[in-house]
Amino acid sequence: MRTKCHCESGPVTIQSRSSRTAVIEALRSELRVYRDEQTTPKHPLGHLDVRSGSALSLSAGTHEWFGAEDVDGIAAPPLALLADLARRKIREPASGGYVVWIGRACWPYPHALCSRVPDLDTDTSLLARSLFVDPPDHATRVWAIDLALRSVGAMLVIADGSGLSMAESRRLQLAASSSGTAGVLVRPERDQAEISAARTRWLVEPACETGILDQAWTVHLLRCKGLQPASWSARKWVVRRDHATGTCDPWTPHHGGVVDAVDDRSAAPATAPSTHIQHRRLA
Amino acid sequence: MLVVIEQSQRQVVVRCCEHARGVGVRPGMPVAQARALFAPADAARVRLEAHEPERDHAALTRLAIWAHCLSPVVSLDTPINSASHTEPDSSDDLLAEPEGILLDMTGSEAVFGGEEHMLDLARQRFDRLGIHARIALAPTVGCAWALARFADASPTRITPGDQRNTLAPLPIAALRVSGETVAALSDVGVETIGQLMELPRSALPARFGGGLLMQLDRALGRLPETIEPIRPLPPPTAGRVFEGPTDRVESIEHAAREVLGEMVRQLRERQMGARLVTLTLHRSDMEPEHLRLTMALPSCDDRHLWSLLRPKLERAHLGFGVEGVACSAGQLRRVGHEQASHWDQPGERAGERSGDRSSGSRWGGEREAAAMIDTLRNRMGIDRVRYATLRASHLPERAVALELEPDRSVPAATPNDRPTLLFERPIPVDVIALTPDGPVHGVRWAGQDHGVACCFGPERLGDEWWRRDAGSTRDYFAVRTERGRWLWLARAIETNRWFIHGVWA
Repeated sequence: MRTKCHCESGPVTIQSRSSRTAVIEALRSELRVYRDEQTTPKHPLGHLDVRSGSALSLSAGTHEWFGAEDVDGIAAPPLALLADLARRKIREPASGGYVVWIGRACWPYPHALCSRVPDLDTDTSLLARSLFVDPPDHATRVWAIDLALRSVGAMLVIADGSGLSMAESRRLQLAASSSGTAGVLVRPERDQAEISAARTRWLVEPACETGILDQAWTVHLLRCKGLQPASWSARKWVVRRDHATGTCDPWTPHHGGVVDAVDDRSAAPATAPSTHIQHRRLA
Repeated sequence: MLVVIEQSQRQVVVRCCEHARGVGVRPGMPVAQARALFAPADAARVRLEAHEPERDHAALTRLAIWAHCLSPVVSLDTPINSASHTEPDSSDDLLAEPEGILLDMTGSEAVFGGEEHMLDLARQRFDRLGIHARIALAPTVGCAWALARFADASPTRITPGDQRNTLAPLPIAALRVSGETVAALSDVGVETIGQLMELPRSALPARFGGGLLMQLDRALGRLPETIEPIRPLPPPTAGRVFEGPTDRVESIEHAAREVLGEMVRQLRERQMGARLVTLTLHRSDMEPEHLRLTMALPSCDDRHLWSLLRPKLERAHLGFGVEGVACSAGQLRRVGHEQASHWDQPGERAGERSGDRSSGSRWGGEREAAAMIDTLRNRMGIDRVRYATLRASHLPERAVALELEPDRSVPAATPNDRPTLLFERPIPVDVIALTPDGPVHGVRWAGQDHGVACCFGPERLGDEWWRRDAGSTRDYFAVRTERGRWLWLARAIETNRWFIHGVWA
């Protein structure tokens, strides 16, 4: 039986069972190398260390977040996670500028931007660096997001992205890419059917199966340019919020398997085919 | 602290702090003698500062300009020698500079709610500046001058007609006369103004000069006294008038650009920036159109201002034609020297422009952030871009405020965990609870029943009784539904109605 397999150097034809085992072993060792690369900060999402379950830091570009909650017809965007992302962003070295919240639909309650440190004062650094913008209509909102994304004065833009068309999404993605600013577009769950040019898409749902004392959410990675998870279960994390401090704990993989499944395509050589993982499985 | 000058190869005290004055230090005293008055432990800690009259005068002028918040007519104190028109001698040279400010408060008491309140307000504002000021309110300049320096209490206030009795126990020096005149009167046993007033007036000019009687009459209100007010510089303005009404947009834009540039040049000459810029279009047979710009930071950058002004000018209604344009600046603030930024490393500035913040250098994009805020505010309206501040209130809807200016003050008490989303209008719901005050077993809203997995509370928040529009007392519960949603339920105690006030989303 002759089997065809793709490797870094191109397709390989396996002649015998023993040589086939050797090739599989070689592929496994190569996969281990890829796993190790997951700990490097080359990830298209920024710093997402899935092995240790540490924090996500958004890279430049637009990222769409869909909030699954809907209380009495009022969309409730995943504000706890977004506040935590913003908090981590302002702690990065050499970070400066405002966290700009555009659109009343995604304005958090300002107390949620303060974290409480036991026996110490409230940490209001995120609140002090937050700017709240209330555009009157859709066109002005898109203009304001575009302006903020292009400005060096904005470190992170978190905006109401409901009703964005593909052209508007493309415009915002180009603006974010050109300036190096990270933008989060908060969209309602029904907008998932809309195509967009965003770099990543996320869905946040309340976690039902966690301990009853936890505030927890399940985060699904719906799409990521340059990142190709091997299985759908690998795209899920559970995030818990500590109600005492108001901060989120490190992300933990949902039902495990994340470490084994995520591959970093952007770190791979340009010659690697897009169906890399799939071919290996066939082998 | 002692402020000293070098005089005849010795150091002489010119000014001293309140503590030094308390131990007996007086202006004109040699430093060695002043040191001897302190306790041995304090003598080593006496701080000497060189007297710099120009800096003192500049600081006093700035204070006088600031004092226009209290009165529209403010002037520097009259030096003793110029007031008495006598030749200065060596000892009076020490006090020949203004050391106070005069405020004409005529009619201002109605604005501040009475004289007492006005004095309290003035004292509080000076205290806030860290200035220990002695304040007196009197019908005449001379009387106020004397009370501010020689009265026992501060602030002091006297009513019209009380000048004679008030001044009588004060020393002769309170009349703003020279030290020579004071010494001459002292030689004949006249130490107080009361004793001076008992002497025959006809004999005084011949023996002590005409200045003495003039100062006495000024203090008593018999002679008028004028003060020379300090006028703050007028705000930078520039204007152009057309030969006739025009509706050509290019001409109007060209003129507007010119007047803006001229105004910016005036700002730069003063090293000031404006937070408010107004371009006025004088329209023919119509009210003038005012185009206002509001900046987050003071700006004297004509390109930035024009980028904000031009869209407004394009949308302006020109009416039957524009006869002229004028530009003015307001809310002026001092700005740093622009040349300093030209010495930055080229790489840093390039990285700043391209948004590269990973170079490890300090972020220097404050100006860009201010430009972004200006652009947002001038297109959407100033009230559509706000900063959030915390307020000292236990009620969630009053614990925060959205302000136009950032406020860094933080209330001492921090509340318990609060939801990430607070509804502006609480959503009424039906709740299943075994007892009226909880715990909650089920919630029904939007036509759906939601089972409750766990419930924390109640946290009782009472109304703010000192407010007229105080709401009712509420019990709050943090509830987790079986679907994993965390709700912040509130029960109004008086009406026993339940609401969802927020969610942890």
